[in-house]
Amino acid sequence: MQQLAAENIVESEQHTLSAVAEMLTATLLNNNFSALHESLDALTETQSDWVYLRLSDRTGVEIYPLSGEAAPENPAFITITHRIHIRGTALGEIILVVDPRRLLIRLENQIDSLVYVVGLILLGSLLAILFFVESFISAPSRKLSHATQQLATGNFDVKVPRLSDDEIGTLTKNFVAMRDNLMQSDLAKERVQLELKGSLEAAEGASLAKSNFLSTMSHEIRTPLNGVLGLAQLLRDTNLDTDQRKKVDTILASGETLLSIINDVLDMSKIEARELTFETTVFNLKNLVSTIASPFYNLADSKGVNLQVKEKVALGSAVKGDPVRIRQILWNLLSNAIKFTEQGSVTLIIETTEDAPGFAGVSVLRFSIIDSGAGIAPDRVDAVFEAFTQADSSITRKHGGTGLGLSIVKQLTELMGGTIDVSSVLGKGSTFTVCLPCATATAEEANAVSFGELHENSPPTKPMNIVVAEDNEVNAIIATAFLKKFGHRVKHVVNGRLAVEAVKDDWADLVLMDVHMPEMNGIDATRAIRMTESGRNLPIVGLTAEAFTDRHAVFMEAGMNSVLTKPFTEQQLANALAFHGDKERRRSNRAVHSDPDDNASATADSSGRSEKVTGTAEHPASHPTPVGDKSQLDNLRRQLSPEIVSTLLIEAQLSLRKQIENMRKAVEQKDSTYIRETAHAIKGASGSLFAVQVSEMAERIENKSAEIDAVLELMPDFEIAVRQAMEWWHLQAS
Amino acid sequence: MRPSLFRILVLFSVWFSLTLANGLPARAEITYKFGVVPQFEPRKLAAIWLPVLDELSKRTGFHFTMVGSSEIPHFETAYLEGEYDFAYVNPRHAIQGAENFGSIPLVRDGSRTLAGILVVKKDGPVQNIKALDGQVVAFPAPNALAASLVIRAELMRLHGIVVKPLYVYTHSSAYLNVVLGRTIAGGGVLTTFEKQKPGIQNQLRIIYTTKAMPPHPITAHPRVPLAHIKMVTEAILDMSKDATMAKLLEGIPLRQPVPAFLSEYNMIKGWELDKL
Repeated sequence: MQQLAAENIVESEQHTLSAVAEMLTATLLNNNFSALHESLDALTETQSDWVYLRLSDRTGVEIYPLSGEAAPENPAFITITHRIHIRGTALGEIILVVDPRRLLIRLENQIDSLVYVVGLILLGSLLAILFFVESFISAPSRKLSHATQQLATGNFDVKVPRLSDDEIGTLTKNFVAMRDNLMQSDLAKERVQLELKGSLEAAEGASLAKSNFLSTMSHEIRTPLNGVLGLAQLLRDTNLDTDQRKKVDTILASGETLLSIINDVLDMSKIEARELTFETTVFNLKNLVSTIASPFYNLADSKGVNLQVKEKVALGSAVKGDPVRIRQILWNLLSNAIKFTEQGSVTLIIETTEDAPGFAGVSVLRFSIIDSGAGIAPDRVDAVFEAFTQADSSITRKHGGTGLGLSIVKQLTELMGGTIDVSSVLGKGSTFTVCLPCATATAEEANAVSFGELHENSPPTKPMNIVVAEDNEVNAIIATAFLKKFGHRVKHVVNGRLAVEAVKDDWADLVLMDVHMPEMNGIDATRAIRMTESGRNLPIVGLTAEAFTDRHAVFMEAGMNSVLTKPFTEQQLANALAFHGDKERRRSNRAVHSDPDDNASATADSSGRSEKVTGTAEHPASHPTPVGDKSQLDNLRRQLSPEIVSTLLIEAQLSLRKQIENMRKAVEQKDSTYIRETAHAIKGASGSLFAVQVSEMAERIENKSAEIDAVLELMPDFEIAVRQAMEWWHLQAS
Repeated sequence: MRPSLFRILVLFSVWFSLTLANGLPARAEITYKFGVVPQFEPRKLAAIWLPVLDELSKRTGFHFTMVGSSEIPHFETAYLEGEYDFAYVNPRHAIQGAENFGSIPLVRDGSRTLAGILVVKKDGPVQNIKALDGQVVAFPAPNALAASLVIRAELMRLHGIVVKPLYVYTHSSAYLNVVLGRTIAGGGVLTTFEKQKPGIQNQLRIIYTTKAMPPHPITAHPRVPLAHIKMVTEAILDMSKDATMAKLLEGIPLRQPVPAFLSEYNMIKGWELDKL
């Protein structure tokens, strides 16, 4: 019996040793003895029955454990020898001594832990049974007994145990029946009155809650919808094929329309308060119509309604008006028409006409929406345009809707100087006709819009000859790219002196003048230009990274016509050009162009600025500035082209590398002026390509350039930020 | 009655397992990859670093995944390709990383310097490095800095001695090869030598020490936000103030963490180790 056990042990240990030998072969061949030691140390630690293990090489030299000890002698021990071979060649030998008694101890330990687990399970079951008895028998009995006592004292509102299928359940059921009979008394009636009062209070509370709900609803719906639209916008900028792009465009168009419905409620109140404003921009009518109709095709198809769009306008014809409001009107009318048409067709006709009734001598955009739907009863025709009214009260039940749509349509149409009419035959269908006065865009205006609907808002200007005086390569490329895109001719110079030269020959119609430039700065150059005959009335638009308007006033005094704050948007540049492109306004008018939506620049007085800066400095961890603003960069990519922006980003990395070297030199020489100039240059260049963290830190250094100690303290973080910006640009460029 | 009893038992066991599951720790949201140069065997490396990274997670709120490599060349490639957000690297990697992708040194051990050593058998015949000329000498890896590159550079350029290197993966292996008589000498550094078991150390003798440089820094990839880099740096500097943590840091070894600067490591550029 013992013999058999020993054989079993030897066999099982031989298996283990074979695996060990396999594992050690590579380390033996590679002389990687530390790995070999680590493995065997770990192994011997876990094998409690191993009392001795020795590994020797083929010459018998001990490799492990290097203690020089001989194998222990004990009749109870079992010694196992295992040779390590590789393809018949001996590599070494393992001698293992096992103590079978320890194996037994290990087994006993395992049994102990098994007992422990079984005990735990038994304890758990006992607890479960106790819990069961308590909750199904003891507790219900106690509750019932308590209930009968309470009933005896006249308390009907006493809790009874839950009705179950057992004997206690039956008892409880009978008890409840008895209590219900007793409740038919006056006492019970009094309770009902009290309950009624409670219900009334609840209803009043619900009404208040509904009011609150209505006021927050638009916001609550708009937030997730904006998420959807934002993601769709991002999706649109990825590599898509034509079909996918069309679908994403449809998502965007539909989402925006949905957003506008949500705005209906707000619009209605705005209309009533006469707060609604309209814009006049150039837009492509065909684009508008295709995006307005496309989301309805699916809906119409699913109802078996044939939706047709008939355009009687020139392909791609551009008109002036408010595309958002026109879309709102059409959306409302189309969705109504499809909603109320069960079969047949819905037709949208768009035409431009010069002779619409009531619009003498004005070109008119006419939309007709003809459906073969339910129609409107003659006595209800006028009422459909009233707020919160639908042709039939069953409509709300059947079709939903706010009843605001047509009312908003009518008001919008009239506020835009147009008219809306409806003719309808009950059971045959309705025709809504909207006439809007509209100006056809000039060829140049139409050309500007052909870059895409993104630029709906840019007021286009005639092609001009423009001198760009800018020493920073990156800023110059951006400005030049925008200007060329607008159709202007550009001459680029790198300092003020060259700018003065460049305007001498009367070629230039306008100058974009950077303020900080080497050799001659923009202020001196402006003064010099104003002294010349050709430059006296030449529009000069200053470019500066300084957001303070009091500084802008200094530039204007020097003779600049307006000032643009860098980094400027395409829109701001376009606005500045449009302002000066009109020669009639040149002489007297002067303006500061800043984005009215940009709170930072609009409200940037000096105190506000410095507060913002210290706030950032004190809590760098809690309000970390991102390395770069990707959305702005993406915007620039869309406005220019990905290739140009990639070139810019590479240019910017090279320039920043040079500038940070200058900065180090400046700090080493403790030259405050050099520090300020370099920091200013870094601020401008990094800001133009939206590396906001560096730009902000450079501004801080620029402001503190006089205090060398403060600059020294800022430098280590600044160096890191510069590397992060370069890394970010590098990623964005690839 | 019986189905109710069954339901209760099921509920009870579900409740029991849920209670157990609740005891597991929640995961931090931001995860950073932490690379460690494989000076020791993977098991030993993990035993040293995992508790340190756990503590760093506790102090910063970020989650760190330790990324090990079996060999120094693998680690080197991954590091220079910018795979790690943070990494513990040798000074030469720090310089190359800064040039390649702008890696930023954060902290290093201020209590010691890094120098290569050559060991021979204590009772062996070698008394002088001159005896090593033309002999096979064990080194951890071709590009191991102090333990291989600097030793070989000095032997060749200062003493005109050329050895045949045998690369055995780790410092410990280099020492063991000497103990086992496989090679006449082995290259390493003092800190790893002192970590060997007494049985190994006792059999060896140091016959040569190279010039010293600042020891391994922990570096950050510039893509990590500045605020996070600062949090990690401060957490490591703070850790040594806690006695338990100081003991863990000693294993790295990072006995006395101090801020590290790229300029401290520039000396290595002059040694022209690339030309070896």
